[in-house]
Amino acid sequence: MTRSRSSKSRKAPSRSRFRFGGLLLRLCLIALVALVGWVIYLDAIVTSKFEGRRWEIPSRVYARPLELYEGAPVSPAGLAIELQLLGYQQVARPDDPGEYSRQGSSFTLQTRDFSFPDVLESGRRVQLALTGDRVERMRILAGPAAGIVRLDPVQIGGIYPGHGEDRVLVQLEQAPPNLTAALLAVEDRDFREHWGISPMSIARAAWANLQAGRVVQGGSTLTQQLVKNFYLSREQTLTRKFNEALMAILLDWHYEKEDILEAYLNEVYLGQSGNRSINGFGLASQFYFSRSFSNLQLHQVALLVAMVKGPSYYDPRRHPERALARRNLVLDLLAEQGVVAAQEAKVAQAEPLSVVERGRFSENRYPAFIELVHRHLTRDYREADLKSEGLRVFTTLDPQIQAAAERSISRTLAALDPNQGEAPLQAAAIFTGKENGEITAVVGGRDPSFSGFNRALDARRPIGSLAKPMVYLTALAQPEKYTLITPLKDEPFRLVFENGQEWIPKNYSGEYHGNTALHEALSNSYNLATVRLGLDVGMEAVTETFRDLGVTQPLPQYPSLFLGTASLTPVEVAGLYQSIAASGFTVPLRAIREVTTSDGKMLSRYDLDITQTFSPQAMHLLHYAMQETMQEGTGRSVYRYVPASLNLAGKTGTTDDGRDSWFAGFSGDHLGVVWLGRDGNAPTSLTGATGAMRVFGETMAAIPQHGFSPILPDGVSYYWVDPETQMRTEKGCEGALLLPFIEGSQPQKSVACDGSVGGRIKSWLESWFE
Amino acid sequence: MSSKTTVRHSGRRFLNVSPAILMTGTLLTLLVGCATAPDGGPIYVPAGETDRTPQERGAPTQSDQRPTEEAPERSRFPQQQPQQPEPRPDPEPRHRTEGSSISPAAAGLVAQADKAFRRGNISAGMASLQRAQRISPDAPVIYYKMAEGYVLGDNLARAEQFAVKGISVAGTDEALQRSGWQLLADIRRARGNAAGARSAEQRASAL
Repeated sequence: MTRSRSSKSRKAPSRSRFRFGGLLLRLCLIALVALVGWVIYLDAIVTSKFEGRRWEIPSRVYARPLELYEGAPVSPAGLAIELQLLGYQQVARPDDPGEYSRQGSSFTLQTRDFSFPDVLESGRRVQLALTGDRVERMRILAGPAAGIVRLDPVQIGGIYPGHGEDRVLVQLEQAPPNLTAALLAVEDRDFREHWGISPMSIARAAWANLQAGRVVQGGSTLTQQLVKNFYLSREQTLTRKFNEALMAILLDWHYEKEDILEAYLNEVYLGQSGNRSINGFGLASQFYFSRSFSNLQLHQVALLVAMVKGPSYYDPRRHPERALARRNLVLDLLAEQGVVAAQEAKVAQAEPLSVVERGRFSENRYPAFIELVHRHLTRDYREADLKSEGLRVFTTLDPQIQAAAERSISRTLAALDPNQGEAPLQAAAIFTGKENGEITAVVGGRDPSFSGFNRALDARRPIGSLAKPMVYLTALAQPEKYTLITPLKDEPFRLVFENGQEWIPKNYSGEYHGNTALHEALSNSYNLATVRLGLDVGMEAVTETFRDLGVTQPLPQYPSLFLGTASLTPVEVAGLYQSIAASGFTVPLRAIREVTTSDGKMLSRYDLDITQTFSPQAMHLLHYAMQETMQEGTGRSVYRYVPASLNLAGKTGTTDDGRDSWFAGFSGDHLGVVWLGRDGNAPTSLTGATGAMRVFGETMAAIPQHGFSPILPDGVSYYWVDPETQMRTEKGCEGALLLPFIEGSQPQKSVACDGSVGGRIKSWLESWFE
Repeated sequence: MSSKTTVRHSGRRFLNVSPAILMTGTLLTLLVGCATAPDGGPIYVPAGETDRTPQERGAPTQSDQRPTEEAPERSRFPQQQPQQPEPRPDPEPRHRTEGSSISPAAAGLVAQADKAFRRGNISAGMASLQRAQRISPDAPVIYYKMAEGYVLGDNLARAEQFAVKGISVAGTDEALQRSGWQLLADIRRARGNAAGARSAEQRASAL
């Protein structure tokens, strides 16, 4: 297009201005569109996360609750341990939930409310008198009447999300008086008026910082703080600050102040415990004061609010003076602003910090048991849900038995292997309820707090003489052929297999005992007699006995099976001996009772399950011999550790060169399996009796309980017999034993005290003339 | 059409009426009776130290070194007299013919379970019964009640096992044994095991 020269030069400056202006306008438009797009994007993030308001709440794992009733087996020391674990405070006069007083073996408790899977257990004021390690008398002074009072269960750990955050969700309505006011007064005075960000606060802070010459005040609102913690990382970049401001505005625009405040109460970071972070006021109340959120007193509220600014810097346990100073500063501020009366603030300032010793509830204090629980849970629940859904897991752990087992392992191993050296002696233990298979204690190694290789669950070792009861049981289940007095030959022999290989078993002592009554061969654990018996009844039959009693692992099909070349883990051995303890009823072991959601809805219940899998009559005979083991046989030295009146049944087990020291046994109430040995399978100088049984004994000695006294089953009767002659005899005759027999298998012939049948007629006549 | 007895479980009617009433009546009477009977059960032993001092406990005695089948070869000693007397446990293995009486606390839970079953809440009833079993693991009534719960839940196989368990801890108590055998007979009949039911009934009437 042609133009005159003059018009061209006249139009040029305005066109370039126009082009420049147009470019600027276009750039602004693009920036605006980008900003709008960015805001929409942020808005989506803000709303989606806030709507669900989903925090990843760890699953909480609880021990069994202690049940108190007249006659309950509780010792004063045991109750004190339980209360300490629960964070109950010992005071002169218990008024608040979570307090108790004690005078010797009398306790007065103010119990806490707790929502169990089946029912809400209300807090009560209970008076207990303990005598002889039992609750002799229980009176309920306040609260609903009941024959049984369940204490809240000890939280023994949790299953945590990867980022390690822990929290207890609270609602705004549960807040103690003054908490909200205090928080706003200290952190965000204009909370209710501003629109997410507060230019007033920023200005105020800028002024204060200018005056001080450094940063002394922050201008962030609570909303901004929430955004920072909930949505963003902790970096301090300008971009982050920009996003934070935008998102705070969006949050304030979408949601009510109360909702934002509640989210803040649950989000704020308030401390660290190992690699768990303490988030939210709900958890912080428990962590610092062992109190529930709604129960906080003014000075405690002030301390928590004071800590918001810097939970590590103002950690009341590590820096008590700083914490106290800032707390009192906060109280001053509250009085100044009229949140509390001046007098109230003064009283609160005079209070000590009253922070409790760091509880262990937020850590996994029993890693070996928790691992077992975790394995069971992952069978039925997804790992992701366990870490984030806040499930409540109610387990069977008994903290008192666990403490006793841990203590006895520590003490015994320190005594047996003080120097440790390159291949230290190791240990594993597992205890269960004798009649219900509930696992009450698990120790996975010499150092119970170390969470490494869990020997109780995973150390697979030859069981040695622990296999023998299965051989004898197989025989005793054939009463037409075997009774407790059947003579066995404890004499050397040689086995030659089809491939020409030889096996010459030996007794450990190297000695032979000739003719031995069956019950003695077991209670003294004679190898030769046992192998002969096993060969008589047959490997198949013995293997079947193992299977009937719940063993599913492969078993060697060689005669050495009778001497325990089968390898099992301690928990598998516990399952096996559980069937023996429960008189032929297989009771699967359980570590979990129930699982509920965070608000109490039942998800799973693991019920007691019993199945009769073996003859109770044969079991009763075995019970006789296993008691004899502890009274006169290889287990008799247990009474160096255990009161003489506690009747036990058990079996010791040792493998070659003492590489494994085993013990499995039970009382009337509890069953225990212990293993000692070296991880690398090096020899020890221990036997089942000098090693594992010592741990068992010391543990049992610390637990008040009933001795073993089996109920005579149908079809079994006791007779006085003379094992020498294999005949019935009378009480008081020399060598006479009172033994159980399955009906029909008892000796048919009788013998008199002086050995002759005629002697009986004589003594009968004599009694006529007395 | 099958000739076996079917189990109707609308509400509480799961057995012929009369045995159920008989059993409930018997059980409730037994609960009351048992709650006041003296405990003939095993000895309760408080926790505590043994008679020996820690030094005595730690030191091996000669009798420890007496060859038992658990001693490894290298500690082979000739038989010797023990230098220190060992504490004597019970001289003989124990057993008893009488079962244990039920603790009042457990009895209360059984009554609660009964109420729950009547309301149709099997789950709550079973929860109470499991608590009761932890308190008095040798009380037959608890197992019988659990069996009842399983019948209500139509799990007859499990019900039978719990009935058998209850009988096994009844000891010489004939009334408890009888209730158990009758319960077992009813369950077996409902499962179609006529022969088993008959033999259980014979046991019941023999008492």
